[in-house]
Amino acid sequence: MTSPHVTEHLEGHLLGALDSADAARVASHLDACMDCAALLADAREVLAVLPASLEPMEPRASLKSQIMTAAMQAQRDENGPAPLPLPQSTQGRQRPPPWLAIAAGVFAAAAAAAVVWALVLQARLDDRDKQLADARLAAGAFANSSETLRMESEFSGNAVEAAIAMPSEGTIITVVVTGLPGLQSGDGYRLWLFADGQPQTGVPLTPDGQGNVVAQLDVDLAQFDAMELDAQPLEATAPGGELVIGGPLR
Amino acid sequence: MNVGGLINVDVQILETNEDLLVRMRSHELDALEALYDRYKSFAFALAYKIVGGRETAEEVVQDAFMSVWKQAQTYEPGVGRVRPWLLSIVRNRAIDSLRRVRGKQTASLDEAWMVPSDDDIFRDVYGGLQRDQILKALDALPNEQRQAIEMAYFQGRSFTEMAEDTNTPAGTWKSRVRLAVGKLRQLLDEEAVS
Repeated sequence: MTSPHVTEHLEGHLLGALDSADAARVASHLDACMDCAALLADAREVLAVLPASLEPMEPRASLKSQIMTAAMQAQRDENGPAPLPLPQSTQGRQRPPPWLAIAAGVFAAAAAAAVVWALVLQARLDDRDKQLADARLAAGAFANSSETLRMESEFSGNAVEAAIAMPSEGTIITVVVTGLPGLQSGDGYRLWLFADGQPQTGVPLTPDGQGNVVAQLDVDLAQFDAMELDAQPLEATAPGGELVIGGPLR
Repeated sequence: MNVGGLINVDVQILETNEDLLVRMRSHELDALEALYDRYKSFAFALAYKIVGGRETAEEVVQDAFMSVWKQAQTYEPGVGRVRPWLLSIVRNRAIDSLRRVRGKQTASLDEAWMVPSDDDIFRDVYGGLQRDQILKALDALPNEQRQAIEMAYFQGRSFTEMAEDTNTPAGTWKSRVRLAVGKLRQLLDEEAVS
């Protein structure tokens, strides 16, 4: 020990309320005194509860996309023009979303407030009018969603991905499916919703030329427990076609 | 879920905050997204309380999450709890912003808070308390101690500024803050076991 203890200054130090001379003295002392450092940690525990005394407040939905965009930019600045490193999938946790690499590829053209799914669709679709309309639709839905669900599968050699945005208000869900291969004439895709193992409704989905589709459905998803997208003749009225993607909804 | 070996359904699995930091260290953006979703409303509420405007508060929150993203690259598991660390960054950024507006030439708070080390541990022993329990503890503080916490923590005022604003000696405010923290610990302990 080379200096007097600074216990009377610890709370002020944590709060940044000391004058510069006291602050410097406390910092210097803490480097050498484990007792005072332990007391500092105790005081920090108490102060850490104060944010939880506030009523939570929601920022604008677009703030999230701004932060993600800024993080991508920071990554690009660090890595140069090379693609972002994509981590390997690990069993037991969510895989990194596939939009990551695509969003990085189109980053330069992306507006700061663009939403992630807008970037995905913007990169993937050739039909620009439809692309932008779908992208805006999906962007708004995912930005305002209360919960999202993602699924992945392989179908006819294609990596198929689906994302569902549950609304924070109302019952309109938004479904985005990408990577759908073209089907033979007379066949189509149909989205089925199940309750207790029984199909309750089937909605035809028509992908664009790039195999992507954005659809909005007005349904109370709480009534359903599973979803399947299958491929079968257009006139089919029940599930049973070739399974494309699907899974539980909760 | 696998059906006939064809379908692979990937559902959200709740990861710990520390898991998310570890994945951010590997540049996994969805980990940052998950942490943001988890704490955006708390971070924004804190920033708004301090700076008093939505636009500036959002700038603070963005700045704070970007700091987390960058500092996560050097994060070591076990150093400390992420939630109090994140919120301390939000507070410090908000107060730095406030002080810039006030024109105060004060050092950034970042150095004291933002680089966790073995001696700078962010524990979270009261993380399980509900808001009403914390409010109850704060309400039980003597008025002058509660005011001291409000001015020092949420308004980012130095003891010298508090003295100038209230004609009460800086040493008195320092004592009140110190007493408030001690009393608050006692009250929170009581709430934690109740």
